[in-house]
Amino acid sequence: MSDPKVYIVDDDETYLRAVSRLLRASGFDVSTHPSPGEFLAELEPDAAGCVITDLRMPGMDGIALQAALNKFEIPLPVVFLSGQGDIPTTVAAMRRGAEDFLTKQAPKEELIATVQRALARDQRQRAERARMKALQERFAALSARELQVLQLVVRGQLNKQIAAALGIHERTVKLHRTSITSKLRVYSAAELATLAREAQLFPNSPGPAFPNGQ
Amino acid sequence: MKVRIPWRRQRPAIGFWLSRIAVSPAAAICLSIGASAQTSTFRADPWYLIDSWETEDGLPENSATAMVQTRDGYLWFGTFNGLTRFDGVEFSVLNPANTPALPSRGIVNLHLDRKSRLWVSTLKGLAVLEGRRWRAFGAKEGWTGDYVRTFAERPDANLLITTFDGKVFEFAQDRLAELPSPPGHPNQGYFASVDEDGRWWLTQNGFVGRWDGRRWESVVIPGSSVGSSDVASVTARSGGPWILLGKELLKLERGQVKTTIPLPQLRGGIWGLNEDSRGNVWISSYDSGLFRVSPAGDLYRWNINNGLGYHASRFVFEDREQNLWVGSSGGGLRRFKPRRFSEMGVNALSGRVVRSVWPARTGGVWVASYDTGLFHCFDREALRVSVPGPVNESNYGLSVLEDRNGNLWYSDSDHLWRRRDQSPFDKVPFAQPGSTRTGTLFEDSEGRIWAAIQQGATVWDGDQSTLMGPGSGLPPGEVFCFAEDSHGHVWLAGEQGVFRHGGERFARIIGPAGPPHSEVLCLHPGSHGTMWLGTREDGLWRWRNGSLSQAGAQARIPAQAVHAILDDGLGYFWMPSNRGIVRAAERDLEQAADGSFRNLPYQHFDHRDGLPTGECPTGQPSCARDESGRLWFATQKGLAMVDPANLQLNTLPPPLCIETLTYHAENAATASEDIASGGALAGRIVRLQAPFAQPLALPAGRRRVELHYAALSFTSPEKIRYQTRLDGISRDWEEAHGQRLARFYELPPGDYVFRVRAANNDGVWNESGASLAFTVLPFFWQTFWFRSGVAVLLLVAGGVSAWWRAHRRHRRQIEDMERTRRHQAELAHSGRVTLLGQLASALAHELSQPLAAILRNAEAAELMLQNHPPDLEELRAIVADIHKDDQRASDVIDRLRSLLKRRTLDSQPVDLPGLTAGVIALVSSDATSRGVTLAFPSPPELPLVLGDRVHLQQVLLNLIVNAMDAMKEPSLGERRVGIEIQETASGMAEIRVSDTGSGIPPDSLNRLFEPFYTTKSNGLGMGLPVSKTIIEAHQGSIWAENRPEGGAVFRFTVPIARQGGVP
Repeated sequence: MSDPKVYIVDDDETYLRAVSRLLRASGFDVSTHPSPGEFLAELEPDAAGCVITDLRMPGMDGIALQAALNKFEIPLPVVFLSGQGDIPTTVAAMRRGAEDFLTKQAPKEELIATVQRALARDQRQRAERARMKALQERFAALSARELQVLQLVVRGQLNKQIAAALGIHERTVKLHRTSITSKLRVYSAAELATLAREAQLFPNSPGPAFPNGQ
Repeated sequence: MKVRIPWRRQRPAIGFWLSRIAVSPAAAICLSIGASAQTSTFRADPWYLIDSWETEDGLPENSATAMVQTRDGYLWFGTFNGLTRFDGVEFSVLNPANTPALPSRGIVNLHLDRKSRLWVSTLKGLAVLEGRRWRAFGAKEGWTGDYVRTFAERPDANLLITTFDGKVFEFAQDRLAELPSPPGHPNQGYFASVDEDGRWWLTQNGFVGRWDGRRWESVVIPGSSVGSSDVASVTARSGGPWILLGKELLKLERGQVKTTIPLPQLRGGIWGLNEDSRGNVWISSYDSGLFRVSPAGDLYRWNINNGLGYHASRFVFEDREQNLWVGSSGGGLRRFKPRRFSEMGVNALSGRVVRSVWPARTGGVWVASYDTGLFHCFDREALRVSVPGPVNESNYGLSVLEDRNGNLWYSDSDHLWRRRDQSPFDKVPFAQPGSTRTGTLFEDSEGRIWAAIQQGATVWDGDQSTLMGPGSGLPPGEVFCFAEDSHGHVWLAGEQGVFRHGGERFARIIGPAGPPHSEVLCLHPGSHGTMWLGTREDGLWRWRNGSLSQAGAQARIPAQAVHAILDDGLGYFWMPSNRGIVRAAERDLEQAADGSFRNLPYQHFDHRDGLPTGECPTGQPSCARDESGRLWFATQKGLAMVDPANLQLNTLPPPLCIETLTYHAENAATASEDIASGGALAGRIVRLQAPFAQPLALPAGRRRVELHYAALSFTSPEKIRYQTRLDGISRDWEEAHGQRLARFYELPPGDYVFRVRAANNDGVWNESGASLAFTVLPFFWQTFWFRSGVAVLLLVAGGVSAWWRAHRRHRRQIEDMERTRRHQAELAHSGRVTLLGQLASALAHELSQPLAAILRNAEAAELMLQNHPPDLEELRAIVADIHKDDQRASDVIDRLRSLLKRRTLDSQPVDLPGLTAGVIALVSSDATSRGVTLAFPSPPELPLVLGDRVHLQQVLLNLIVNAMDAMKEPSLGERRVGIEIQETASGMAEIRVSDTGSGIPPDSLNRLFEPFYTTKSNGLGMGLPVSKTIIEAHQGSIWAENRPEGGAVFRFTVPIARQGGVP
């Protein structure tokens, strides 16, 4: 993972230069790009940080850039800069999920705070992503049968129910459970269920509160 | 030029005039005008409408001692504070102050002799006005009496004059001579009269006799008590004198008593005796009011309780229009105007709302009153007819009718009642449930009774009732009236129009929308298959054979409402309305409906003619003709009757007088001329009075001329209509209504004749009227000589100025051209403003870029300066960038300013491709945001064009923005504006702006360049007209077409600059 950077995309050369100077002087690592196309071409897949982009640009505009970024595994937060008189476009962008908007003449403090917020969000997303990845790696150590047992445990079923459902002996179920807890380093069924839900292991699981009565 | 203002508002304050009128010895009569008369009317009298004038109403003193009417039509009467002239509205007073020839203010007696001499007996002697000359009679002229008791006149105009101190004078051969007094006590003077042989008679206590040429010869009246204290006499209209002796009135013929009328009820002291033209003898008492002895010998008395102001009566004078004037000592002047309409049933109906009247077969009339119920009225007496039910309910009578079978139908606010013969009233049910009342009853020729109900009509044939509603072709709605035409078809009129019943069903004749343009309230079948229609506010209409015409649209009938039409059987329609009753001949109305009358002859009767009020109700029957031909009318304040056969109309055309001419004097010099010419100076206001000096010349510079005139008709002066005309200004008569003042402003020098004509209360016109010729003199500079001189001077000056004018014309042409160009420039300016509104967001964006960059650079520099050492290289770069951005912002503002700036065409050689590139730069950001591609292929080598840079930029801008606007359709695949420039064969450069939109609708193509024509929701429609103006100012042309491949293309041409620049 590379160091977080502020990626600035603007077709207006002098503004691009000016805002990069300001952010650089404020202590950010800045990367400038005169058009969305060039930016996307140069962007590394594991790039961290945030994007500041002009809303209106020839060719691909800010909204389109945001859409392109959303296809990445870890989307960079986007801060839009708009000139005056762009209210309708701004509204359109907000409807598509943009979170930060600034006018180009916004006070410096606001600009910097927004950038810091965006960077923090990126960092948070990234940490979350890393934890999730580790979690999923842990579950990946389970065998196929252990996953099946885990799924039923998470649903709150009793060992003999699980045994009946899977057509195995109750003692075998117990064996699988011990293996699961040791591999995942958890010690209770409740803890197991929470972990599994966190890892989104069984997205359709109704959860332990709803025993299915089998 | 001429302004008419209702005279009452414009009349100058009387006090103002009075205080400024100077005495002019040259004027034969100089009057001070008194206040106009505001009469109050005593209405309860059965024969007369009694109006009064007292001091409060303008009399100089509250007496009228004697009265005459001069040939010109004025009434003159004496008071103890001056001789008063009356024109029906205003009093003018002669007294020693304004007429020194008048011996005293106290006027005791008056006489107008056959030679038009006005004899005036005053408290200080006798004076006679002959024409415009006063003649005084004193001791030298043989006058030794005190004041005149009576005048008697022979056909040869010789007079016998008696005085209060018992003397007798004869005026003959223009000389006054005293005759010997007869024997007996003169008491308060003798009564003089003259018999059919022209012999003088004298009457007083103890003596009745005649003059035999040398001495008084006593006449013995058999059976009468000469010596009675109350004795009087007057010359009878038919010859020999009337003599009142005590309680007997005697008519003498050839010295013999012809008639003796005993008057046992006569009381009080006798002051005078008069006879009117209808054969009544009037006895004035100085302490008991006034008595009338009718030709039948009936005695009737008036006193302060029934119309007089005071018990001391002096005279009864009959004017030419048969109005009687009653004078008094201390009780003012009264006019006894014979009533045309009598009030009937006064004991019960006076002041009551009468809704309906119908002749009773047993005599008299049935009357339905809205607050007192049903009555049977015999002339002035009305008897109540009781109707069952709670008293308060049946009191509200709406309609009454007696049918041919003797059934009496009466409707009140709750029920319809019927009474057969003398049996009690029965309640009659309506065929329609819920209907309880009707204000409209009608009997057709088959004896069926028709009644209007809430929504339609009900008809009774005997006891069989039928509902007339939608089932019989009658839409729901209120019905106002019924009538039957000569074919026996019943008509009705209501909210839904006019309908005719053709046996089974009603057929609509007139729709509810009309014409007429108002509800039809009454119908009346006329002759020749005519149906007359009276409306609520659109006058009278005639229907004949399916065609409608309005009668009297031009006739200026005062009432636009016609509530009923009553035929008097004498050829006249009587039409009650909310403002009186109009009478007009059916024949004349026919002509009016044919459109051939301009001034329809009519009479308009109202409270001044004896109606209790002019307001007559709607509903049917609201008026009726009885068997003897008398007409009865319901009114809102009682019941009125008129006998049309004995209707006495005022047939006398009213004499007209122009009384004063007033003008404003320009300055002191002219004012003094005015005094010399017989006028009176009132500051800057000069007033001339009739009789006017002729020729009448007004000094130059008359700012305002006012003429005051009067028609001398005394029956109803309020109803006189005037028309005026000023020859020299207008050839048309102008309607002045009741206005007695004409006012003219800014009359130019010239000769004028003012004319006025008038119609009396019954519409009889004095066609010849009165006229006054006058001249407004010119100022010296308005005279012919002066003008000729000026003309010569002008001729000389003309030559001198000719070249100057030619020079000026040239300059004006240049100015005109300038103005045209300025006008075009203004148009272009307003177009630019509109355009800028549309471009505002794009320009704001343009401007925000450099400003934002500057801001960020400045902030960055700030931060960098905190570093030690600061990065000077970077700071230098920042400053350079700030400079650059500042320049960028300035450029944007300059572009803006140049667009806004109001300039005239400033033609220069222009590089068209360069200019186009500039415009494209201006709109490119707008185009980007709209997803529009601007395609501007590099043009081939093009010479410079001749034009105004900014204006051409604007046209191009406008066309490009329009093109982008034309491609708003979201479904469009490609949004492309193409701009091409090429040189044409005719030495022009052509610019094309094309789009890929949906093109221009064919019907808009030729309207595109019209101002305010727009297809945009937020456009003003000024852009293209402005562009057209600009291009045409460049000698180019602009047009639009649709491209075969789709979209529109706008093309314009501008001339290519020739070598050497400006042409």
